[in-house]
Amino acid sequence: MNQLLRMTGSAAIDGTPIFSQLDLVLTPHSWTCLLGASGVGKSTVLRLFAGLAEGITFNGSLSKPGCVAMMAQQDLLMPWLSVMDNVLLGASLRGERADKPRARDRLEQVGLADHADKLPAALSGGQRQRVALARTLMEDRAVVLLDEPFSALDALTRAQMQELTAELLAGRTVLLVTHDPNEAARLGQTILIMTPTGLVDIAAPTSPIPRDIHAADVLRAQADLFDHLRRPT
Amino acid sequence: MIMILIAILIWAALFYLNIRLSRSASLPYAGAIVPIIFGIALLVLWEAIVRGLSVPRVLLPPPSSIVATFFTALPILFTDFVQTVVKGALSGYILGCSAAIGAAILVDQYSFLRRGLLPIGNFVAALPIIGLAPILVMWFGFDWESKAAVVVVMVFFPVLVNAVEGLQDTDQMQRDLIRTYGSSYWQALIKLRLPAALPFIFNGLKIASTLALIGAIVAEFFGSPVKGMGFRISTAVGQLNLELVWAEILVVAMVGTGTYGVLSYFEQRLTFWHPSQRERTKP
Repeated sequence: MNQLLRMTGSAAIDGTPIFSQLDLVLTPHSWTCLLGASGVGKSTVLRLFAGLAEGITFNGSLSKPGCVAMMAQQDLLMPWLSVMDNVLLGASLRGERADKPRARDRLEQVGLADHADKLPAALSGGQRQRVALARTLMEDRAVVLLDEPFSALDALTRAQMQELTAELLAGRTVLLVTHDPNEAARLGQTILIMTPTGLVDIAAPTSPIPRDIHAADVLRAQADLFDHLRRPT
Repeated sequence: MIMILIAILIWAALFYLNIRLSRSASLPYAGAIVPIIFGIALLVLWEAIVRGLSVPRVLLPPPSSIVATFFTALPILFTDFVQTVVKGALSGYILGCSAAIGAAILVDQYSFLRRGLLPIGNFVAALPIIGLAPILVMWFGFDWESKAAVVVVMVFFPVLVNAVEGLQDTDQMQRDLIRTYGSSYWQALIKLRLPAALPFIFNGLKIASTLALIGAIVAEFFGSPVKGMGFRISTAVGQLNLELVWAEILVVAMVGTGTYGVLSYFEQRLTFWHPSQRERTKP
C-alpha cells in the first residue's frame, strides 16, 4: 500500500465537537506517533481509520485504508480459547481455514511457542500482550493501529514489547496512539501532538527504530515532547 | 424413652466423629463423608424421636416407613414422575428457556425491545402462579400441556434477564476488535458474545430449574388427569396417606438435586475459564 493515508475534516459525537480542521497524513511504511491530552480525540481518529465510525459524525475526507489490524491497551484475548486459538481467531471469525503452521510461526516470533496450548489466564500480563501482538501479526495487514498497547505493562516489559513490536511491524504503516513521550521518541518516525487547534509536528529523531533508550537524540526528542505537552494551549 | 436416649447417644457419637473428621484434613473424601454422616445422624434422630414419642404418623411419619412406601409405590411414583417432571416441567423448561435465550438475542440487538419487552416480562413474572395456573389450565386443558405452559411463563423471565445481561457483558473494545477482523454480526454472536454470556445464562437456567418443578407441581392442584405429583400430593393428603406425600417429596428432592447437579456439571465444563469457576477448582 503506497498510497497516502490522509484524514482531513472535523468530527463530533452526539453533537459535541471532538476535533475540527484536522489534517493527518500517515506516511506509508513508517511509524506515526500521535500524542495529546486526554479527550482531544486521538481514539476517535483511530476509530475512524478502523472503520468503527458509528456514533461519530465525520465531515471531511478520509482515504479508506481498507482492512486494518488493531491492537489495544487491553489484550482482549478470549478467555475460553487457548493461546493458539486466540491467534487464529480472525480466521475462525471469517470462517476461513485455520493456518496453524503460520500461527505457530507468529507465536515463535513473540517467543511463546511453548505456551500455545495454555489458556490466557495462565500467562502473565506481558505474555498476554505478546499473544495479542501475534494475533495482530497473524492478520498481516498493511496498516496497523495501536491504541496505547504498552501502557498497562511494567517499565521493563514495556521496553521489551516496544522493541519486539517495532521489529515485527517493520515495513508496515503504523499509527501509534500513546501518552508516553519516551515511547514516541523511541518509536516515532513522525511525531504529532494533537491539540484542539490542530496538529503540531515535532521533529523526530532520524535514526532507525526501535531507538536506544540512552541515545542522545531520543532523550532530546523526549524532553522536547514533554515541553510541548506541558505548554498551555 | 430408652429409644430416644439411644438415639441421642448415636447422634452425639456421630457428631463427635464428624468433628474429628473435619479437623483431620488429611483424610481423603472428608468433604463427602462429613455431610453424609450428618444426614445419617439426622435420619436416626428423626426415626427414634418419632417412634419413641409415638408421634402420630399423620404429623410426621418415620423415615423408614417413607422409604418403605417409596419402594412399594414405585410404579405410581414413576407414572407421576413421567407426567409431571418429563412431560410438564421438562418440556416447559426447554420451551421457555430456548424462547428466553432467543428473545434475549433480539432484545440485545434492538433496544426498543429492551424498553418494551422487559417491562412486560417483569409484569408477567410478578403474576402469582396461584392466579395464573387456573387460567392456563382453562386455556390448555387438564393434561400436561397446561403445566408446560405454566412452566414456560415461570422460567421465561429469569432466563431472559440473565441472558440479556450476559450478552451485554462483552465490552465495546472487544466488539470493535472483532469488527476489525471483518466478522459478521452472527459470527461475533456465536464466537464471542454467547460464550461470554454463558456464566450468566447458566445462572438463569439454575434458577429456572427449581421454578419449573414448583410450577409443574402447583399447576396440577388446579386440575389434572388422575396422575401427576401435584395431583397425588393433594389427594394423598385428603386420604391422610402422608407416607405417599413424603415419598413424592423425596422424588421431587432427588429430581431437583439431580437437575442442579447436571446443570452445574455443564456449567463447569463450558465456563471453566470464568473467574467464578477457577476459584472453585482451586484446592
